[in-house]
Amino acid sequence: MKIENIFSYLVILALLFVSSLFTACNVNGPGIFYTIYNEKKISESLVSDKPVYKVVSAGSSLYVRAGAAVYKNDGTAWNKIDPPSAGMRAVSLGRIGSAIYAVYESEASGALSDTIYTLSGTSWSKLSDTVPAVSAIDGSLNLSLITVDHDNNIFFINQRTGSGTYSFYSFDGSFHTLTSEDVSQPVISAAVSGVNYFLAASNISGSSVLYTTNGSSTVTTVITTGFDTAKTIGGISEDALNGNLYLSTRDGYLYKSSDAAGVDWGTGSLNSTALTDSYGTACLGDMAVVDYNGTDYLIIAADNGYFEMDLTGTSPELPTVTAENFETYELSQEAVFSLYTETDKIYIGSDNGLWLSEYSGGPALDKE
Amino acid sequence: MKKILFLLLLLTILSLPVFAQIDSSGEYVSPYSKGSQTFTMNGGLFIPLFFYFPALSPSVESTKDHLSLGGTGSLEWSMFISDRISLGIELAGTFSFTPNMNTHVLIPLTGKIAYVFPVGSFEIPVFFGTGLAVNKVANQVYFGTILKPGASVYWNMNLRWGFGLTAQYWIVPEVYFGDKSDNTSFGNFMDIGFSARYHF
Repeated sequence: MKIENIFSYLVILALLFVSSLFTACNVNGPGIFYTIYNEKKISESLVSDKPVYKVVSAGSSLYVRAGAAVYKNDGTAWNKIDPPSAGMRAVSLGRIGSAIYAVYESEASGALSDTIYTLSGTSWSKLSDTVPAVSAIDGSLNLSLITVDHDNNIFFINQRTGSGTYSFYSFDGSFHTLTSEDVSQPVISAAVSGVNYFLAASNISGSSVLYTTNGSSTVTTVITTGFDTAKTIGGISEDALNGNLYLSTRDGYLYKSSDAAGVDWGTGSLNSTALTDSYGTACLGDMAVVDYNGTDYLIIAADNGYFEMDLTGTSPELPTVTAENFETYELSQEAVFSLYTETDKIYIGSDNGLWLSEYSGGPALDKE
Repeated sequence: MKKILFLLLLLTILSLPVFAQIDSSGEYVSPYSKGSQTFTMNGGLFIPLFFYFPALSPSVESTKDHLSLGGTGSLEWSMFISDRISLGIELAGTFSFTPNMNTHVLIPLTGKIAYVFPVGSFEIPVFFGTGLAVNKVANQVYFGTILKPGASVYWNMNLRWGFGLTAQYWIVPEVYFGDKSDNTSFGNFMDIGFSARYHF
């Protein structure tokens, strides 16, 4: 073979190599080797591989609804709390003070129903006959407990009353009916501002209403300006420090009220374009405020991890303060269903376990 | 005693000029000529070495505690364009595991040029390959390039079959521009394995 031919082959190989440098692509994530290098060994627990839909704290213990069961961590390990009866599934979780409440789904003679129970030690007891119990409507159930961040004296109850109709209740030790007639959007999130509670009700088709109540009286509709009620709400949270409310939407926008009454939402969303992560437009959900290393941040759950924003800021971003190299964690690829915060701590319930971002001289993100 | 017998047997076999590549005058006679083809199968260990991050400090990071020892396998076809030089194509695959048991996979398709050094009944092909590689971990996939220099040592059992060891160095660039440019990296790996080659 002639030297020129060998040289030609080498040139072709070199050109292939150089051209492939510019055609290379990775549409998702921060980089293969960067991710591998930053990956930390995740500890395994009873809840580490389960979807964690709700996180609440009661007394000195942490409770989660993971999968179809309730788990408790008293500071040493996770333990499963058996359901009231074999075969019952936990579908919602709430707390008042140090008392834990859960909705369990049961099946009797082929008929499904949801009932609220309260935890006494390690066993559940039915709350009372006056608490709404829901039978399946069109084959599906809906009795859910809506807790309020930073107010453990109350939770709200969303009850599905018919095909596309709902009624609301509250429970603060006593039971209160909050709707005089059925409404067409379920409550998905609640916040407190002063003495008023705000219930964000929304359905997937894009119809939202903001209600307010003192916790025991019938809700009234807040006539909002600046918030597009045609959007589906992801969550509501309060900034008690500055007297503002925040609303997140499922299409990636964050709104901030300029008053504590939830009326004036300015001229539109804080972000002019939908928030995006490495996988595209972010679907925003639950929110919580946390005092993290002396600064207050709004934490916003999303379908791929979460966002954070200094409360003095105007633009939510992927975490840099509450988690270093966030995009290298599997959490950045997992849907976040629930947030629960304490000073310097953010509990993050994801579709693959419970995560904790804790500040102790520096941010540490680990799986619980 | 068994060990000594085994070693003697091995040395005897290896020293046999079964299909000697030396003619009666002592000159090397290549078993290959222009148009000769080989089909080679490789299998062995995949050894992560280090990552090089040009934009970070420190820039060289060991893969220890980040990627496990893995496995590799490949299929290769080559054609000789002279009695010493061959051109070929190789499809390979590797796997190794991250600390949380995510599987890291590399699937390169490379063009390959090799030069064969004959040493008695042995052959030492030295080669260089480059091409495209699928690089995957968890739900991230990167399509990029790869460089694979290496060498083999073959013992020719007969005119058709040769067996030996192959070692290759893998350089896997992962180049980003713009916001992610700091995450540009070069993975450095090695594979060592057994090879079986069929000559036709």
